[in-house]
Amino acid sequence: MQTLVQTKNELKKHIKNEEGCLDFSHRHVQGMTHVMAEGSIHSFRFSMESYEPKRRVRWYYADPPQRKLRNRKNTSYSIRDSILNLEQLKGSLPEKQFNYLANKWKRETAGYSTSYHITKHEAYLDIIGMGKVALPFILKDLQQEPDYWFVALKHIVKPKVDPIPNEHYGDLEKMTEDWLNWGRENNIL
Amino acid sequence: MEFPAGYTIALTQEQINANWPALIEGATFEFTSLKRKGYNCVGFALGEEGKDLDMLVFSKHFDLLQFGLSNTPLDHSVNGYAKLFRALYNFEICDSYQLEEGIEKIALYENEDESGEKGFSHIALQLENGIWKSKLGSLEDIEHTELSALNGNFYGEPVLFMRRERGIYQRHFR
Repeated sequence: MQTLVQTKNELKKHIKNEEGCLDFSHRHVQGMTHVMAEGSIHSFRFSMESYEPKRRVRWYYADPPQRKLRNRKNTSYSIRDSILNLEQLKGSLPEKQFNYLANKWKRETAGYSTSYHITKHEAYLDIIGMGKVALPFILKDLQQEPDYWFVALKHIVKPKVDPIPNEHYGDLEKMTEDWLNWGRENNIL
Repeated sequence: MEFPAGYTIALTQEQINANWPALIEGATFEFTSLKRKGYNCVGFALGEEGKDLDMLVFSKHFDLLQFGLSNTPLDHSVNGYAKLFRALYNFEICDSYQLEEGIEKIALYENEDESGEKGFSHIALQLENGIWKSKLGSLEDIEHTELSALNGNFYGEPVLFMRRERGIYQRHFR
């Protein structure tokens, strides 16, 4: 079971206990959000309306070191090990952040004709930048109605999975149902 | 068209002002359907309703060779889409968008993003009476008198026209 910690000290403590390492973190510095994931650094503008600039908020995910796991034989790494479910994230800052970004994305891309433009939108990329924490919210949104979340899911879910059979590609309803089934199988929904 | 009671039109005046300033209901365009999600303007114009061709042809599972295309992945340029429409739907590039009897025409729009990169943005289909038909993303479908009615930041402008004999019904995906 993955633990969500809010301070660096809590994280260090967790790492000592679990022999894990910092895999993913958000840092909010001077109005910018920096996302660090497995050594790569992406930065993007953080523009949530409810964001309080003076308050420092950090979310750390102490994942098991995936690289080590990959090198070990007979070790299975489940996506479920590093994802919190909807209930655990209810009312949290990530939920508010996701809702703000998702509404902005839907509002501003409603008239776009190609999925290429739809999935290139700034708010959509910010949601991908949220990483695994956005996953339960994306699946919850897909439950409401099919939408172009597939690119985000492909980027967020690690190790990579593709629950969509070849013949379902292009059919948004079937693609949505495939991902929802995957979410249910992994107890995320 | 008459909308059912209680239906809220998804295409707002705010969106029109921001994205398609030349659209004026009753003058340059009319609504022809309710809001429909699940497929894009390409599927709509080519008769592949219910399919999002983008999600299909740009997926790794799409067999380019099966449709007589080279194995080079398609790109999102207007020429990339034109190649696709020629191979799958018998459209040929033409010079004019003017109405011709027995000929079905499509207009491909191109826009430019913030980084200056140009790409395919929209397709409009010419009806037998010369009026153009478009599906505005996941919003309502419309008929517009001029191609330029959709010019603006969102779709850019029409840059390429293609034609084929009217009446050809080719649906590859169900």
